[in-house]
Amino acid sequence: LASSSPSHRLEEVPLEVLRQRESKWLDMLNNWDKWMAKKHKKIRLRCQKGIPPSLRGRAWQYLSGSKVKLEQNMGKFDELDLLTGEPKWLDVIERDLHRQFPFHEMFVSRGGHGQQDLFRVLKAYTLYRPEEGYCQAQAPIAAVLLMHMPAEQAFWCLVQICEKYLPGYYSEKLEAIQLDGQILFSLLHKVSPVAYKHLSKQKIDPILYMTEWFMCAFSRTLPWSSVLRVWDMFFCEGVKIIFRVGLVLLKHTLGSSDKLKSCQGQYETMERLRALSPKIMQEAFLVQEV
Amino acid sequence: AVTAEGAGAAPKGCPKAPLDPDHLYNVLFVGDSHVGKTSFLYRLHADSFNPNLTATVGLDYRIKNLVVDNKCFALRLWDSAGQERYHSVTKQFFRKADGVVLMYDITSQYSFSDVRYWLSCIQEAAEDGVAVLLLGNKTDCAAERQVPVKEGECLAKEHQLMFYECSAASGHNVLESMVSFIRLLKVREDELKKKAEEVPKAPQKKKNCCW
Repeated sequence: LASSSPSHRLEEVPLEVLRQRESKWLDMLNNWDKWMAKKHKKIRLRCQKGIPPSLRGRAWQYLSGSKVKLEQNMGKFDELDLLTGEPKWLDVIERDLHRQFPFHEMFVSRGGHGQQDLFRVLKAYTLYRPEEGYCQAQAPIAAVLLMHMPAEQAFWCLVQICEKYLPGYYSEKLEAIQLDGQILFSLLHKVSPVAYKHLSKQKIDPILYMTEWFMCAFSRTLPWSSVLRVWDMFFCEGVKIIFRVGLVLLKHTLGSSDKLKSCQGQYETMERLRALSPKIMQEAFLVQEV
Repeated sequence: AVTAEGAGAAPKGCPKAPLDPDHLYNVLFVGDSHVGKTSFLYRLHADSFNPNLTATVGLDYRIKNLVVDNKCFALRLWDSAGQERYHSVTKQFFRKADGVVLMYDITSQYSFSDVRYWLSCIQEAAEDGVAVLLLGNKTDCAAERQVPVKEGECLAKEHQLMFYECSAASGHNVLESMVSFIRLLKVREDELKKKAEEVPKAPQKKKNCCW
């Protein structure tokens, strides 16, 4: 639909369409259980079209099940919030606070509200799952959540991501991410044999390009409007969205002999994967391909 | 010692095409998180300080071409995440390294204590005799110094490491330490080449015998 017209941004959705979508989403959120039970396909379709910004935070909590989780654990976050936490985690978290989206108004000032809430959420997680503690890739995830909801809600949403959506991604040995790297690579074989062959030939381990993509759910990779659209779908459909986005990026970067002309060596290829073409990361193109 | 000439000529880049350097080395950066590995590489690359760099997730890399002693060197600089749990991911890249830069933060005794942990990782996963540069970063924060220069020097001597203190923020010793390290890597390479040349002589003789 929008593929021929370049650089679509979220705010370019016509106002009437946006209002319509908002009322549809309000209806869904107000009758959530019914919709989930009977019209899941419709929810998925609406997530693909993009959740209206005004309702995004609420929708993510419904989709992820964090709303229910919070209701089942009333007071738990406040309880964790009052505890001190383990110094070894606090030290790393504190040093990371000013490094998350430093140009976002929420996180721009040291000790400001955004950074404080980020600290509370991440600290609470280390107390909630002491055996996992804090993994540095959790900070950008929590920061994106905090841009859309208060600290307590963001905490439970983070719990859902770490336990339901991306289990094992952030825990001690990071085995899950390494395994998913291998899976991504074998999927690439089907999706784009040319890209697969190229990466095999140059012996580029998936770990080299997909770790940050997957562990940060593309929040540091894609332009902002694309991040939000990908997350809308991710919360609805789960980790397969992350795989699909990864495959689209690989396919459109290395998927034809023409594209490979400038990727003669391992390092040219890596450079390409690090500085992806803005065209393929652009919201309308990416969402359509996924 | 670094000659002014070597360091001065270096940032101008290679006269030859970067794809065709005289020597190419893989250098892996390790050390605790927040010691400044990514900032150091940023300084080397862009000759400026970026205070807003995010924590490295997994492994990143940069290429730097430097001219030292009239030869063009291409460095593939591998930037590893400092948090301990990433070690299982980055471990496999130790073996490919010609040199390892082990960085600590002179304002953090903790990061200096962890140097021994990192040395054991290098011993375990890298090639024997890999060149190691011990680098104490953040000399610009002199007031907060917790690790005396002497301690760094001693540890380096004990483990036969090259040693520098530097500051990614001010640029102090960033290029100088890299230029010295390149010279060390070159010496190592020459030694290895010599050894390699000595080895094939034996089977050749054998061949002649059988003839």
